[in-house]
Amino acid sequence: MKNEELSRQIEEASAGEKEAEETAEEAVYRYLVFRIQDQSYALPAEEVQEISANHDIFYVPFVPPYIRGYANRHGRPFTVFDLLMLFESTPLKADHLLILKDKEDQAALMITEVEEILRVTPSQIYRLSAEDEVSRYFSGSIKQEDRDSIFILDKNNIMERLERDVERA
Amino acid sequence: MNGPRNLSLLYTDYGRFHFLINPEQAPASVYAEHPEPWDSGYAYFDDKLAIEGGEAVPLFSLHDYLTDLFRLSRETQAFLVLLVPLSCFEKSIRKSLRAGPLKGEPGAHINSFRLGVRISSETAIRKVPLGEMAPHSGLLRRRLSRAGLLAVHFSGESMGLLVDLGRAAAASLNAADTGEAP
Repeated sequence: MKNEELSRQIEEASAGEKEAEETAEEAVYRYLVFRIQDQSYALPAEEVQEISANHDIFYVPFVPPYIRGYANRHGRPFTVFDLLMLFESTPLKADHLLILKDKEDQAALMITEVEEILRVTPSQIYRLSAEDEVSRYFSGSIKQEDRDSIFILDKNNIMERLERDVERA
Repeated sequence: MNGPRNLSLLYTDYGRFHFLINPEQAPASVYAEHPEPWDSGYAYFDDKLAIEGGEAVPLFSLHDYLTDLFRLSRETQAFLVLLVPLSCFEKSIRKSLRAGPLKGEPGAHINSFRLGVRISSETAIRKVPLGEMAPHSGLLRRRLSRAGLLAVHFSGESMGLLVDLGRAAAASLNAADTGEAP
């Protein structure tokens, strides 16, 4: 057996063991919880690259109103989303940016502040029953004892909305 | 050993924004205006044609267009006019500006394969390291490139855009035709 084949088999066996561990003891996921004005939202922690404050945002033409412009991150332009504008057509006043981790794009969310990192089990995540326009931007909600539900943003659906709007412009 | 590669670009500073033009896109300047008024019917095209090599050339005011687009002050009063050969990409310019015989002047034609582009006279050649230029973020890249805003350059507190002159002029015409003028 070649070493490559041996390595592949070891990796597969290891992945199988890990899966078993996760099913035996319920998996735990980490979510970053942050506020946009008065509302809390969550994103899977692995989708967030960093949080930064006091950024200049540069206006960019030919984009929908929920795109506030570009932020400069180490000489690269990051598209800044204003989700309050997208959800409620009201511009957000805030100076924190959540820099998203994305292989395809450079994007950031304007946020009011970061609240915490939550450890969440799959049984605490619920699907949304509503099917209105805004619900499309959430993949579900987190419900834990003694606290309000927190909506989980669906980054891909938000990006897809921008893709559609930009093509139409 | 090769050092960082520099680009020599035309650089116009508007404070919070700056605009960059590849000088190779506009190898000549225009000095004379045609004496007769001409109505293009479009906001960012002058009501005078430029004269170059005995031909009449439409004049696009990039300065006015960009200052409106980026909501900047229009203080500059002195201009340079660059002469830009248009590629087949800018078909909409020829279509919109009705290239052809110049009204009232038998034998005279508007040459819409070339465009005069008016820019601020406060423009100078500056060396910009290639590594300081960045592409647009993925989702906006295609839309902004189509509008002639090709790449981004951050310098201190200012954001710069590399402008393609023909595409910017075509975008201004398209925006006017679709009622989306800045």
